[in-house]
Amino acid sequence: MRSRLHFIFGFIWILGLTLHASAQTTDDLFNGDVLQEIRLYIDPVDYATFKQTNFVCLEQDLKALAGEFVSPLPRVECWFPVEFHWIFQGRDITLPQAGINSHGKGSRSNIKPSFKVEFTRYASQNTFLGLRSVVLRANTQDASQMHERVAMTFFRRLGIVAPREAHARVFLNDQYAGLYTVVEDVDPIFVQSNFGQSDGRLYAYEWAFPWGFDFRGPDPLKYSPLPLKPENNLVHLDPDPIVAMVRTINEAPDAQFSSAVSQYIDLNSLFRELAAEKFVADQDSILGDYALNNFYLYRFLGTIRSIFIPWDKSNAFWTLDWNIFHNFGSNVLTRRALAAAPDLIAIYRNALQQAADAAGGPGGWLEQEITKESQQIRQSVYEDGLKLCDHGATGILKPCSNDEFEAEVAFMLQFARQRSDLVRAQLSSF
Amino acid sequence: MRSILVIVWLAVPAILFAQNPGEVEEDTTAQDEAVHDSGGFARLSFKNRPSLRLGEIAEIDFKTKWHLDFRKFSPDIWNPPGVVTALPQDPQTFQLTRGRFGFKGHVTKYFDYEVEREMRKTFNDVNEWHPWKDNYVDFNALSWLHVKVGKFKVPFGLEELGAEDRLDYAHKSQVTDTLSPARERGVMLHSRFLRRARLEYEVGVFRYDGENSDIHGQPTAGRTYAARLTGQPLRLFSGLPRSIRHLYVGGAATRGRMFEGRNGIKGETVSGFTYFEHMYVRGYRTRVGAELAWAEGPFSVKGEYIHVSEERINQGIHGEDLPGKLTRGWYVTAGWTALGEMKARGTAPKTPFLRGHSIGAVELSARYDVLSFYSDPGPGLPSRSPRAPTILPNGERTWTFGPTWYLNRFLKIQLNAEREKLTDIERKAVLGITTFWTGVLRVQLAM
Repeated sequence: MRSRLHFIFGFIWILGLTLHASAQTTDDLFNGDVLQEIRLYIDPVDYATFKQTNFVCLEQDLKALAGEFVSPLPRVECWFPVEFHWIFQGRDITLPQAGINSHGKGSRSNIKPSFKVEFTRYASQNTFLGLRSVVLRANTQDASQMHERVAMTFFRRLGIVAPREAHARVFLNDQYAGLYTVVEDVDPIFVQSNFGQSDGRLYAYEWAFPWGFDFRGPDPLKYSPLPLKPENNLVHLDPDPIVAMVRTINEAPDAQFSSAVSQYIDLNSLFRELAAEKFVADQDSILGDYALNNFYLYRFLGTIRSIFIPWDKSNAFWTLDWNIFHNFGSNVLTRRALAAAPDLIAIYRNALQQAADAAGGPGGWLEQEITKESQQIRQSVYEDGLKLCDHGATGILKPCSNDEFEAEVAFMLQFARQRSDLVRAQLSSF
Repeated sequence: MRSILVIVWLAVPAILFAQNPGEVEEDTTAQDEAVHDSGGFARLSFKNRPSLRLGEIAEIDFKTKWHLDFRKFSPDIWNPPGVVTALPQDPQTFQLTRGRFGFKGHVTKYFDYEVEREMRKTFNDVNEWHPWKDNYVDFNALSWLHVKVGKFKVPFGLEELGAEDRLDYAHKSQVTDTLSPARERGVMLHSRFLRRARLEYEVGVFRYDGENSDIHGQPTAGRTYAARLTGQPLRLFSGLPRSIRHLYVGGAATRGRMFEGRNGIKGETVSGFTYFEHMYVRGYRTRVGAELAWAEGPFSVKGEYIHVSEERINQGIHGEDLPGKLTRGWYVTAGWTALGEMKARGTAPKTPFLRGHSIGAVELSARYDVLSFYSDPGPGLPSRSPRAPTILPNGERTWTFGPTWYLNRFLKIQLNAEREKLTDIERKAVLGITTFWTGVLRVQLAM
């Protein structure tokens, strides 16, 4: 009898725990109305090693992607075990064994590193709220620390599939490590939740050289794994549709350009995304100043058609008067669209108009969002003694002051108030 | 081209020794006699190897060992795109895996010595972390006390301590390769005692833990103590059947303090894929082993069990102590001389190939070895994290089988198939596959 009672109480206790745990969702983690708190615990020796190997690991990864044999000697540790804690409504939700490595290229820093936290690093079933991984972005190039989140929130408001994110105070071994953005990773789980499938081909664009969809020959290795790095289905790589896609972008007759390329790319979605990126004046994007960059490409299962997914908006809000056709001429796809596909340009112009409407002018949505976020993070930014920034994308990260934060917030507010009118003016003049 | 030259160069003496038609009518025992003797104080002879004898003062035997391997892996070695060294670079089908020169002998009746160096880096582009092999002096102080100083094998492991050129297989068992210490610099007391039971003791202290546990040539543990006791104790019981009395048994142990860091023993397939990563360790590494061997006529059986524990003091993420990491393995191997007849020592055929109608001897062997990595129970769910309190177990089970053709005392050819199966499907080398085959054809020349 007693053992039965124990069993029943035990069952109820486990049930309670389960219900308690299931009360949190990814919506809670990426809820921008809350300044999240994340605590990472890492062995101090591991963290010292992390800083030592931070840049070596990046170099090795790029070499491996380029097909070079990277010697295992000397042994370089790039992943480290951590204990991950998310403090939600006063409750500590813990994942005891996650893995971290350094994240980012130009934003990579040993003072305030960005982290990729891979919950499933040591066990595939070890998801956190159903997520395999998140990125803790240090926003080291952005004095406002808001470019990324404001831009992605705006994209989603426009109906563009984009990662969710929220600001978080991050503590490393109980020491405040600064204000970060917790970013939803673009992985098979992201693809599944947004497109209802994950067995297609997901590629991350790894910038290695300036490329604007020029045809580089029929060899698939010219396109993947670098710059298009496969993120899933690694056993059976299928890069041929990429070659065909690029060939079509370059060689399709003008008259059939839209229909031919649309076999390979969801052009409606792409041109809406391009419009959103142009509206927020993203200097480092698909049509940025460094040629193609900062996107994922997902090819739907059983098809040759792909969709672009935006990534890394650190360099958004670059200038107020960012030209809406900036760099259109340096990318084969947009150059040819401009010359021969008025239907695509019409989509683009409509999307820009919608973006301007959605952002609003003074007191509009964009200004409200910037005001809300800046108020939410201000104190945490002030307390962040490690914050970095890089005005003008010089490639050199430097310590960032509170005044620089305020100046950038002021600029973003000005951008929010004036950008819509400026874009409309450009639309009417082109 | 260089590989072909090596093969041709090595094949010349092998053919000469194996097929000398002039020796066909000679008594087979004559092979062990000197083929040339210069006479006088300094006498050069060729017994099992070229040998220089300086009266009763000293003897120098020259020795060499060559292994020429042709290897194939299935599935083929493969790296996922952009992953750093998930698997080693595609190896060449042909590899020179041994190319050693050395000499051994004695000075007076008190000193034995050996010097040996691996030279394959001269012919191959390989990493050879420890080119110097056995390099020691053994002082025969008393009949019950010998003192060995220098670099030699730590006294642990039946298969590890056997000469590589006398192995029944191209590769040692995974258990031996992973868990035995192998060579190290040190001092060892050893001798036989209780001769009727053929007992032998070995007790030593070594600078590090042995080369097998090194990581890219760097030791993972400091001063290590080792002891081993072996023999045939059943010989003391004259009432037992003769076939049981010569059962060989042994036990050994080592203990050394590990260097703090990611220095735990790792698991790796023959093809080089790491299926169990180095774990963070601190404290003592302790090995305990038991061994057994038996032979009767053309049949032989050997087996070994090894248990290794590695402490993980302060290795938790919060600096807490973690339960000890454990590695356990055993193997059993059996052989049968199916064709021809071997000499008593089992190193050469009684009648060499092409002498009379002899084909030499062919031995068929099979080995099964099991290797497991795990930990003492700890808090939380088992994980693959290198700082996991409870380590998610992993291991492999390996079947090795194939014939060894002993052409003569210098030359043998081995054809081995190895089937490895990993137990943790998420640590597999190639997605969707947990079973790995390795095929090896080895030509061995040793003298």
